Amino acid sequence: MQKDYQNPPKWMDRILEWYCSEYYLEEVQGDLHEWYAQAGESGTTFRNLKYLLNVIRYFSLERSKTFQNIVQHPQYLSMKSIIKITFRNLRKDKISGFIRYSNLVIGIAVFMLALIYADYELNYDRFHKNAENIYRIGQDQGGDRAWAAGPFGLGPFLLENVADVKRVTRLIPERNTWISSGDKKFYERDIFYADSSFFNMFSYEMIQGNPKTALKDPSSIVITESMAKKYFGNEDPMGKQMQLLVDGDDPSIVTGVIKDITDQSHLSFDFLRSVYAYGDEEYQRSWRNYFVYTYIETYDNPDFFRIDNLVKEEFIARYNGDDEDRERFKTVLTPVHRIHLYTNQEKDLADNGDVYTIYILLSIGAFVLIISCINFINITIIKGLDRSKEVGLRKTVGASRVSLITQFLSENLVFLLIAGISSLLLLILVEPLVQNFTGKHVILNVIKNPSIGLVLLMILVGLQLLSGLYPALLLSKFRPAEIIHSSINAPTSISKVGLTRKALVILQFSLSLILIIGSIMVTNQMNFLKTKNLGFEKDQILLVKLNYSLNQKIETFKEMISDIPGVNHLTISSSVPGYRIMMEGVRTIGDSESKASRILIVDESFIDTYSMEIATGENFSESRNQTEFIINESMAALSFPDRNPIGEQLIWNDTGRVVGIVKDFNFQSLHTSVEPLTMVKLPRHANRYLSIQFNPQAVDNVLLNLSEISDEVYPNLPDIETEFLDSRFEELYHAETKLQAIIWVFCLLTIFLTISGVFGVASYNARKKSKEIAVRKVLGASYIEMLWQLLRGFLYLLLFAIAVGLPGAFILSKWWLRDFAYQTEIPVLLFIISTVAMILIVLLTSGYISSRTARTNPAAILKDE
Amino acid sequence: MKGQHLGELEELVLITTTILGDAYTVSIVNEVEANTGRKLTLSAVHTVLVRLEKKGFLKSFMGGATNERGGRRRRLYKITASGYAAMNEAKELRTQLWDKVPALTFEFSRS
Repeated sequence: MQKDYQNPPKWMDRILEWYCSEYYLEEVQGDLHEWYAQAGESGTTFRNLKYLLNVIRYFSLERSKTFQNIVQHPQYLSMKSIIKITFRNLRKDKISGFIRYSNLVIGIAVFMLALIYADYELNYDRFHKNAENIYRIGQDQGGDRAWAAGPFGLGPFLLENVADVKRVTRLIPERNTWISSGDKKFYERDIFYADSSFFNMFSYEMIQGNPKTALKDPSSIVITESMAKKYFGNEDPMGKQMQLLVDGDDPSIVTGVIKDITDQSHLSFDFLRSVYAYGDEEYQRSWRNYFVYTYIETYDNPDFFRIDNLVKEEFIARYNGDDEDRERFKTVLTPVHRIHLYTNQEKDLADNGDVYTIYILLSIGAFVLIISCINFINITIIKGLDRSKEVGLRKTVGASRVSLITQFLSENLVFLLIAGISSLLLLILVEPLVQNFTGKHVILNVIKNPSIGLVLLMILVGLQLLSGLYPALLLSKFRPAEIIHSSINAPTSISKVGLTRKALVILQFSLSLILIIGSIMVTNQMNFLKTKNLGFEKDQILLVKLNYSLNQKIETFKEMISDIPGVNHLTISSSVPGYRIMMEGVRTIGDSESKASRILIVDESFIDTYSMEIATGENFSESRNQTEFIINESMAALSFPDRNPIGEQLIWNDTGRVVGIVKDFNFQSLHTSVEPLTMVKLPRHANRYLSIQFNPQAVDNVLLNLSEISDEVYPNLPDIETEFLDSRFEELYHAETKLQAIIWVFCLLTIFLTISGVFGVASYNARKKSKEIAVRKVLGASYIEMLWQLLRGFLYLLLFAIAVGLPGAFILSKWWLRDFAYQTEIPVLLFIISTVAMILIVLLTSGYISSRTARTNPAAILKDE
Repeated sequence: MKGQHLGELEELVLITTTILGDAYTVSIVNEVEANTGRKLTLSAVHTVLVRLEKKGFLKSFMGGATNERGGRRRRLYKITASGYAAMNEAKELRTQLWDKVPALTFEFSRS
C-alpha cells in the first residue's frame, strides 16, 4: 500500500453502501476513492465535505438498491416481456384488438352500472338506525290494492293498546303552498305534519335544535339546510318566523334545521310541522279522516299476529263492520326499507320503484357482460391461432405447458386491467347522463365512491377465471410438430370446440333478435298509447288548480275567463282525468250494498269542456238546481245490470237521479281499463280544478289574459299555477318513456356485440376453410361460389337462432304488455322486419370477412406447404 | 427514432470516451476539464455513461483495479459502431445547419 493513499471517512462510505445497489457499488466506490485521492491535500475537512457531497449526488433511483432489486427480479422481467408481447399482438391486428377491447369495456361498464344502480335502489331507507323495526301500517280491506294511509286515531290507539309498539309517528302531507319569511316568498311543495316522535324514530340528522322537542309546539316548523339557506341566507334560522299561506295569520317558528333529505328515502320533505297544529285533540283521535300515514317502531321480534288482530278488531268496531268485513280486513305492515321497491299501495306518498325493474336491469347487465365475454373469448382464441407458431417454438425450446398457460393468463390480465380502467373512466363520463336520466344521485365516480373499485376488482377476478382460463388451456395444448408442420390449417384439437362456439353464437343471435324486437315493440306500444283516442279531448285543455284563496272570488274569476277570446268552455270539478279520482261506495235505492266507483264532482259544463259523448239520456242542465248523476257505461253495467239507469235514483252523500250515461272514456293511464265512474252535480259548486278548453290558435292570448285577470281579481295573491292536460298525460307514461330510451341504448349495444360475435366466428370459419377454398379456386371455382361456401354455415346458425329468438321475443312482449289494459297487436310485420334486419347485420359482417378470404390469391395460401 | 438523439452532455461524454479509447468516469471528468475547463461531477458523468450504454452507443467491461481505488475494479467504456455513427450524425447535422446560417454583421448601436 502506498503511503499517499488515504481513505475517505468510513461512515461516508457506509452511506454509499447503504443505498447503492450491488451492481454499481464496486465501480462507483472505486471512482469515488480515486477522485478522493486525486483531490489532493486541500484541507482534509474541506475535501471530506466535497466527498460527502459527491456521495450524496450519486444517489438516484436507478442506482438504488430497491429499484435494481425490482428491475432485476425475474417476475418483473417476465411481466415486462408479457406486456410487450400483448401490445405487439394488439398492434399486429388493430381491428380485432379494438373489437376485443370495446367488448370488454362495454361488458364491464354496463354490468357495473347495473350493479351500482341496483345497490342504490335496494338500499332505500336503510340509514334509519332501527330500520328493521320500523313499519308503515296500512290496511287491505279487500279492494284491489292496500291503502297506505289510515285514520288519524289509529296512531294513539296503537300506542296505548298494542304492547309491541314502542313508538308511533303520524305523517300528514300538506298541500303545496306559498311560504314567506321577511321579504322572501316561495311556492313550496314538500311540506309534512309529523308527531314529535318523528326524529326519535327516523334517523334524519339534525344540525340545529333538539330532535326530541323540535316538533312539540304546535307553531314549530323544522326545515332543511337548503331551505334555511334559501330563506335566511347566512343568518341563524332558529327562532325565525315563517308564514304559510294556508295558515292565514298564524306564523310558524323555526325550531330545528336538518340535513337535506337523502335521495335514498321514500319520504322527501323540505318542511316538517308539528301535527298538533293540525286540528284539536278530538280531531286527532277521530277515525273519520283517512289521510294519515302511521309509522310504528316495534320492540324486537314483535308479534305480528297480535298487532293485526288488535288493529282489525278496532277497525271493525269503529266502522261497524260485520263478519264478512272482518274476514276481508288485513293489516298491512310494510318495513320502512321495503316501501320504496316492494309496495304498490293506494294513496302512497311517492312514486315508488319496482323491484322487478331492478331484477330486469341486473339480468340485462349480466347478459351484456356474458355476451361480450363470449365475443372476447372467441376472438382471443381465433387470434391465438395466429400464434400457434409462437407456441410451437416456445415449446420446442423448452417452455412447459404451465409456463405457457401462465403467459396467456397474464396477457389476458393485462388486457382486462386496461379494459377495467377504461370502463371506470367511461362510468365517470356517463355519470351526469345517468343522474339526469334517473333523477337520482347515483355516484359512479370511483374517486367519490371507492367501493366501485372493489366491485371492479371482483368482476376482473371473475372474468380472468372465465375468459382467461379457457383460451389459455386451449392454446397451450398445441403440439409443436403439428403446428410447425401445418401452418395455416387449424390444428385438429381446435376444431373440436366448434360445437360450444356454435351454441354460444346461437344464444347471442337469438338474444339480439329479442332485444331488437323488444325495442321496436316498446316504441310501438308507446306510440299507440300516445295516439289512442281516450274518449275525450285532452289536447286543448288548460288546468288551474284552485285553493282556498282562489275559491273566494271564483264566480267573478270564472266570468272574466269565459270572456277571453279563444276560450270555448270552462268547468270546475273535484278532479280531472289524469289525476287521482277518489273511489267511494255508491248505492242504488233498494240495494243494501254499495258499489265501488270513482267519483267526480262536476258542474254542468264538464261534459262539453272535455268533449265527451253521451250515449243515452241527457247532459246536466243549469236549470235544474238539484243533485244529479251521469254515469259511464261501466258503472251502468255494474249498478244497473238489469234495467235502464236513466231516471233511477243513486245515493252518494245525497240522493239524486241518473240523467245520462256517458260513453266509457279513459280517465286514467292506459295501464288500467275504464273503471266505473259516477259524475255528480251537486246544488253547490265543486272546487278543486278549473279546466279551460281553448282554441289552439289563441293559446298565447289565453295565457296572457289569464294572468292579467288573476292579478286583477286577486291582487294580493301570487300568480296562479297553470298546466296543460296533455303534458300531465305524458307524465303518466314516464316509466315507459324511460324504458324506451334504455331499451334502445341496449339494442344498439347488442347490435354492436353481435357484430363483434359474427366477426369472431366468421374469421374462424374463413381461416379453417382457407386451404380448401384455395384448392377449389385453383380447380376453377368462382368467387361467388366460395363466398357462399363460407356464408352457408352462418345461415344454419341464423335459422336456428331465429327459431329460438322469435318465440322468446313473442313471450317477452306478451309479458311486458300484460301491464297495459290497452295493448297494440303484436304485429307479424314487425317480427319479419327485425328478423331481416338481423340477417342483414350478420351477413354483412361475415360477408366482409369471408370475401377477403374468398378473394385471396390461392398461391398466397398454398405456398406454405 | 426515440432515444437515439444525443444530448449536449451525452455528445461531450461520447466524444471524450472516443478520444480516450477505454474510458471511465474519473478519466472522463479529468479529460473534459483539461480540454474545456468544465468541471463535471462524477455522478452526472456516470449517469450519462449508463444511459449511453443502454442506447447501445457504448459497451462496457470491468477491469483495471488500482491501489487508489482500494483494489476495486473500474467499469471501462468503449465506443461502439452505432455510437460512432451517432456521433458523426450529430456532427453532420450541425454542419448542415451551419451551412445555412447566413454571414451576419452586427452593428454597434447606442440604444
